Amino acid sequence: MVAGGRAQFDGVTLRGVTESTPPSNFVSDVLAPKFEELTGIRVEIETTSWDQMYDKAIKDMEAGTGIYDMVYLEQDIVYAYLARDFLVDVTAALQEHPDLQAPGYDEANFTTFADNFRGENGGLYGTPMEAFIKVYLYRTDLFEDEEIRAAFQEQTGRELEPAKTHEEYAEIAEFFTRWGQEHDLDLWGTTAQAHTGHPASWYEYFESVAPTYGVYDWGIKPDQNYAASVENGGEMNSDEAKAAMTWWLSMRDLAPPESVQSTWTEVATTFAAGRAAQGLVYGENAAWIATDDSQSRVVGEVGVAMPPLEDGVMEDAESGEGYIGYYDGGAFGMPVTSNNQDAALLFMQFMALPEVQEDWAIAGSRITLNSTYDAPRVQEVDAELGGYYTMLRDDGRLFKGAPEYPFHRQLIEATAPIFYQILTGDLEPGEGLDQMAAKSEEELTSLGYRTN
Amino acid sequence: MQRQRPWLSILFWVLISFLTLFPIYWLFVISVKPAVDLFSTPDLILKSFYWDNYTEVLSDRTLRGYMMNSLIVSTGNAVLVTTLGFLACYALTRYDLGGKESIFFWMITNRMAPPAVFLLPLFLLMTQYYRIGDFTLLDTKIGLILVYCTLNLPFAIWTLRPTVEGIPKELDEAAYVDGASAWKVITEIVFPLARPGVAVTLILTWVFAWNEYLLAATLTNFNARTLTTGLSEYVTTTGTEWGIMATISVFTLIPALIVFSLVQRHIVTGLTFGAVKG
Amino acid sequence: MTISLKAGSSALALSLLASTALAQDLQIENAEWWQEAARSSTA
Repeated sequence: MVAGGRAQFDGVTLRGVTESTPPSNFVSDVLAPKFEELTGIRVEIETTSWDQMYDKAIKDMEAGTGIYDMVYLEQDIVYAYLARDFLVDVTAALQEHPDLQAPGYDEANFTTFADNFRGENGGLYGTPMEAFIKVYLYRTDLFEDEEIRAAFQEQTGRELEPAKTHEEYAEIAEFFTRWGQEHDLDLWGTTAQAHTGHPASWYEYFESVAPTYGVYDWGIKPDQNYAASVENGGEMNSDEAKAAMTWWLSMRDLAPPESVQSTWTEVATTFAAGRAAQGLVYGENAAWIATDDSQSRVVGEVGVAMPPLEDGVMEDAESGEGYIGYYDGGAFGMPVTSNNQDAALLFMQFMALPEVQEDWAIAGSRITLNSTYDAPRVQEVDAELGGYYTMLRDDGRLFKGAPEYPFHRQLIEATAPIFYQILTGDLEPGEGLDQMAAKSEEELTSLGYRTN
Repeated sequence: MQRQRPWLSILFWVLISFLTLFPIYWLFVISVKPAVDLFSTPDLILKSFYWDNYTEVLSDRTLRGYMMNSLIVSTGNAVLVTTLGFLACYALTRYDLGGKESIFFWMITNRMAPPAVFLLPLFLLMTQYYRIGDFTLLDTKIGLILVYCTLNLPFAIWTLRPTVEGIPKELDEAAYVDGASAWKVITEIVFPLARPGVAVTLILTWVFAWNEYLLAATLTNFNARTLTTGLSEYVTTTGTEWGIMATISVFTLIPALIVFSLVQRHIVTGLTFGAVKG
Repeated sequence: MTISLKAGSSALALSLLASTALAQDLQIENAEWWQEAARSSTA
């Protein structure tokens, strides 16, 4: 120790890699300079595209080069990282270094979303920084239009309300697609994230549609020797899964023509361009669709509701056996290869301070602390967003992230080609799901999860 | 025949020009539209200009840094590669080296594999092996220049070879007889005559480095990022900033156009030079 | 601090606004602790 209180972090620069999204930009543009101002520790955040981000983080951690002190962890990749011991247990590290424990930082203040980043011992392996649910968006201007309501009532015999069941949803979709045709409008009844060559469609089916039919965790049963087929105790090709697929494809056919080339981005753009009356949209996009008039034509005309469900699914979700939709998000984790772990621990706590999170919620429309919901400014924004934050708080527990599978990417890569054939019509939904279930079991066997 | 039907020729060239220029026009159209208009029915004719994308790009310090990095790396790479390539060609065409055809062929083999194959080895070399203390080549402009050099040098040698070969050896010999040194012969006799070939090599290697994405994306992080890698920041899960990307692309075109216009008059000679040597 | 969500939702608008205003406006409750944490000797 040099006399005169020489800073132990003198000259330290923390480096992180993340995707270039509004919540991440808040880290690099706001949190990093503030943190440097207080502590003298410089923070450089490299923002890049989603695939590049993983590529670079994984290369660094595999090679042990120690380039990054923090890496973005999407909820669905964390189990693969944990399986390879890439990350530092933050809870344990703070217990070892109580002097680094920051006042105001409280692990218990995180919303339940943080549980996605806990290891088997309950330790937290990342600071949650964004969290969204995939919600059912509908156009309030159309749903409240008297002429439309009257026409809907006449055709269907019921009031036009956001759908609670798949049948109602389909009825509304059919109505609006026809309404668009008859009135020569660029309007369709639903969105569909149904790209025929991008995993976004795979995700929409398995994470947002199949669960609403009671098919959870991709229809794979870890406790049944990782079975996927009905024959072996799985559900990937169950009657419910097939019904879900048939329903989803019929919605795709009512959606705007770009849907067969749509990922999450295009679905959001379709909705923002006013081309769909309703749809399932990721929450991170719901915010700008509802409020940013430089990107959206439907500002102030967006309502938020729960996804349509089959009977019994809500009961499953309430009891914790199932879920009604996708809970998405990410955290910042620290690679074990980081050379600046103490400084990184400080920054990771800094990101989770209640006062920081409040501003962040307003700038990036994401909430990861319970205390943030109560802030008056956040409540104002909630009103603008049609109650999206309220839904996140009250009903967030009904949604779930990707299942805890370390084989996440391998399984998608193995089955996606068959899935795309279903979308292009080269395979019947039933036959396609049978093949996918068989392929999944084959892949899980070769990866060593399933034993014959 | 052609003289009798000039309109046919004109029509042909108009069509070709349209096909070539339309994507550039379309790029420009996207860059001057607000995001909200991009996904409505396409409008070919511009009715109004929305300059916000341009002001955003110009006021972004990070992007200006990327642009500077791109310029330094491309120019550094082109100059280094062309110089080395030219000297190599001189040696290989003027001196009676054993197995020189094999050397020529051997050099081009490293262009036969896709660059992605070299990604991981390069990453490891640059982070773990070529290091002095804490200094590594990763995320440095010089590192990127050297990587591009290994990929571009064979190309430069093959492009320059016919040019240098096409310059009669008798010219060198006459100069040597007059007492000129090898350096003088190379710089004052051979180089001026090889200028068209050098210009072509310079521009092609410059453009290669300017447009390169894959290696730059992996081998740079904060300090040496180039404009092409900067573009990828605008493709995100919460939306793709098409307007900004188009604007950056327009800016990427400008330096390339300037470089082209500077050496344009050499290009035609360069591309045909040595092609009909006897 | 007057950043609207509209501005906040756009990555670029945010980064522009943020660099000019937000970092300065962010009030950290235990600022001294953070200053101290970085400057004192720890494990």
